[in-house]
Formats: sequence, C-alpha cells, structure tokens
Amino acid sequence: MADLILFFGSNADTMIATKTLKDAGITAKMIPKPASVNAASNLCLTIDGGVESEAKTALSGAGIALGGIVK
Amino acid sequence: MKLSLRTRLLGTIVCAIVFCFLVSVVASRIVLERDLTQLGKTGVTNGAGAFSGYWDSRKDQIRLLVAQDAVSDTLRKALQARNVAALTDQLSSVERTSGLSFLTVVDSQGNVIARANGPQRGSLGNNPVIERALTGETVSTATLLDPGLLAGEGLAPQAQSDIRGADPKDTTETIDKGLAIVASAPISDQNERTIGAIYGGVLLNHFYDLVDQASGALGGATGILERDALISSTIPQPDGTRTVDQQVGPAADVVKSGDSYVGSDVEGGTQYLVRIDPILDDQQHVIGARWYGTPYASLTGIINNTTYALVLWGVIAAVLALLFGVFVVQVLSENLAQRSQQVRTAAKELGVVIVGSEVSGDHVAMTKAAVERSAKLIDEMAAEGNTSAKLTELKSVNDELHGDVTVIDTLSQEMSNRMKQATSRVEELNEVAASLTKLVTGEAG
Repeated sequence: MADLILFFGSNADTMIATKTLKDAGITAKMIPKPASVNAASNLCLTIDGGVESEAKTALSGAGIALGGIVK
Repeated sequence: MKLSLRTRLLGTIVCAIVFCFLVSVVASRIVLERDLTQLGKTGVTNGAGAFSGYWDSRKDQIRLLVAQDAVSDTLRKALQARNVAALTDQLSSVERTSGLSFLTVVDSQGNVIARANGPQRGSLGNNPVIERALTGETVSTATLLDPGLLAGEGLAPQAQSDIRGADPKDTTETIDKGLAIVASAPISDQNERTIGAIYGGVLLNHFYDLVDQASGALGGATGILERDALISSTIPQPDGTRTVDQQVGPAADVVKSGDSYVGSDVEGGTQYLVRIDPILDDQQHVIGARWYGTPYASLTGIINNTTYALVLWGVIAAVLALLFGVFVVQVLSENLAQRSQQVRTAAKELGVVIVGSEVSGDHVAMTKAAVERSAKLIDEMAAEGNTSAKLTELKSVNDELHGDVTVIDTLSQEMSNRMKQATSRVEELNEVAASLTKLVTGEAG
C-alpha cells in the first residue's frame, strides 16, 4: 500500500510521535516536511498506508494531537 | 558572621532546652513556694488550734482544782473557825501538788483569810473575779493580775520585767502586771450560804510548763504574750536560751484588733511562719496572745531540696536531649550536604551533555553543508552532459542522504533549543546546590 505522511503541531510532537509509534510496533520514518504540506513543524513522519488506523489509535492513546494526514 | 545550619540548629536546640528548663524550674519553685506556704499556714493554724486546746485544758484543770477545794469539808470548817494556820497549810499543800502559782481564801467580804504563799492579809473585794465568786458563781478565765495582788502573793518579781522592743532601736518598757489563768469558786456552809471564796491560778510570766508541754506534743515553737510582749516561750535564741521579755511586732495589731494573725515573724534571729491568736479575759477584752510558729527553714529546706533535684535531673535530661539533638542534627546535616553534592555533580554532568549537544549540532550542520555541496557537484556534472546511470543513482542516494541529514539537523536544532532551556535550569540547580552547601556548612560551595 502507498505511504502516508503524518504531520504534527511541532517538531517536539513529531519526535514523541516517532517514539510512540515505535513502541506500538509501527515502523515510521522521519522526513523533512514536503513543500506541498502546510504545517507548522519542519519534520513529518511517513508510515505504511496499511497501519493508519493502528497509528491513529496509538497516537490518540498517547495524547498526541495529529496535525493531519497526506495520502 | 555566617553560621552553618548545623550551628544554628544546635544553637536553637540548646536555647530551647535551656529556656524550657529555666521556665520549668522557676515555675516549679513559684508553685512549690506558694503551695508549701499555704500548707504551712494550714499547719500553723492547726498547731495554734491544738495549742489553744492545751490552754483551755489548763484553764479547765485550774477551774476543777479550785472548785474541788471549794467543796472541801476541811477547808470549809477551817474557814468557819477562822483557823488561819490550818487554812494556810492546806492551801500550801494543794498549791504544791497541783502546780498552782497562788491559792487564796477570802471571806464573804473579800478579805483575805489565808494564802498559800504567806501570811499577808488584805482585801480582794474589788477583784471582779472574786466578786463574781462571792455571788455564787464559779469563774475561770485568763486575766491580768495587778501589781498589788501580785505583791500580796509574793509573785511580783516573777511578773516584773523589762521588755525589749521588736526593733532593737525601740526603747524598752517595764511591765509589772502578770498574765494568769485563774479560777474562783464560792465556799458555802452547810446551809448553802456563801461564807467566802477560794481564788487560785497560774501566773504565766516566766512560767514554762504550758509552752514546753505544747511544743513537746505539737512540734514547732510556742509562746504566750502579755499584750504584745512575749512573757513565756520555747523560741530558742542563737545561744540556746529562751526568747522572753521581747515585744512581738505582729502581736500589736492582734491585741488592737482582736483578730488572729497568720504570716511571717522573726524571733530569736529565726524567721517563723506563725499564727497569733488573741487571749481574752472574761469581759472579752484582749489581754494577750498565744504565739505558735514553725521555722520557715523547714519550708525553704523542702523548696530548696526540690529545686536542687529539679535542677540536677533537669541538667541530666538536658545533656541527654542535647546529645540526641546533636546526633539528629549531625545526621540531617550530613544528608543535606550529601544531597547538595549529588545535585552539584548531576549539574556538572548535565553541563557536559549540553556542551556535547552544541558540538554535535555544529558537526551536523557541517555534514549537511557537505551533502548540499555534494548535491551541487552532482547537479553540475549532470549539467555538463554526464548522463550515466551511476550518476543518476548517486543523485538519488545523495537526495535521500540530504533528507536524512535535514531531519538530523532539524532534530539537532530542536535539541539545541531545549538544551538552552536546560542550561538555565542547570544554572539554577547550581545556585540551589551552592546555597544548600552554604546553609549546611556555612562555607561558600
């Protein structure tokens, strides 16, 4: 499945989200924010499209606000 | 001068212990003094009551003796026969065996018929006690005997004395009257007509049986006063003799007001807690006083012993408390010093981390610059017409590398910002640690 880009409100949130997803067994790669994405932070996460729902669950469980998803 | 926490804590503990100790001792002493004085007053009041009992007992004894003699057939017959020799012998015998100071028989007119103490005659018709006896009444009372009566009985020398003032600066005065417990009873013939009276008593001036008996039974010291002058007592002088012929300061008010006095009095160089009760005659006039006292030293001795025990055990308790306090303060201060040292060490290590973060951030920035330079070189090679597949792959790898380095650089900057905040926290931690060290040891950390 195609990759998804997750973006957050700040770079700190992006870092915490990386650790949260890693602890939840979801592989996430940190990448620079694409020019097409309009977000406050400079970093984004890219994950496999098949684990979107698990990623959302893990992030909401950790109380991390997801800024948006670009498919 | 800056004092260490240890010194201040120990100082506070010592001051608190000493303060509590002093307050306890002073309060205990005040309470003890008040309560024991109250107890002492109760004691002398009870003692004075018992002394009064001895007094009344002696008065009743004299009354009984005189009343018994008044109904003696031998005495009545001798009086009717005006047998002076027989009367004198009998009166002398009774006086000797009963301990009376004088014993006299008068006729129905109050003329002296016989005396135990000698052949002097005269009239006692004006004596109020005998007047009452001649009316058929048996009388027993304390009274002041005038010099004339005392002279007739040969007792004037026993009563007469020079009285020293309560204050040594006061002038001395001479008394010539005598304080006595007397009784008089009518002597009647077989038809119950009063044919005379018998009059006897004990002169209390320089008479010590009563006070010795009371002191021996009650403890303390006793005295009898004619008005405010001590005429008989067991109060010892420093040389061991009795205190007599001495004015008693507080007794003047007792004689004047007729009210008892309970309080302090100094006699024979010793301070006593005393009770002074008025002695009344049969007309309810105050003619003297009974003095009963216990030395204040017996109270102050208890107070001093108790205070000494309190001080001794208080000092022991204070030393033990102090040793415990020193131990606790020592442990506390050592713990604080140890914690302070740990904070300082942690702050120092955190400082190293901050420096490392800054250095690695610089290094990441340089790496990013190198990757960007590499991308520029690849772009230049492509522009010069190099279309090899390896160059294309190199560009792809370089782009991926650039992305990763950009992420690392961003993270590095983020961490750098966080570290700057941490730096200020570390400085605060260092200040806190230095303050703790200074507080505990009193020295700059």
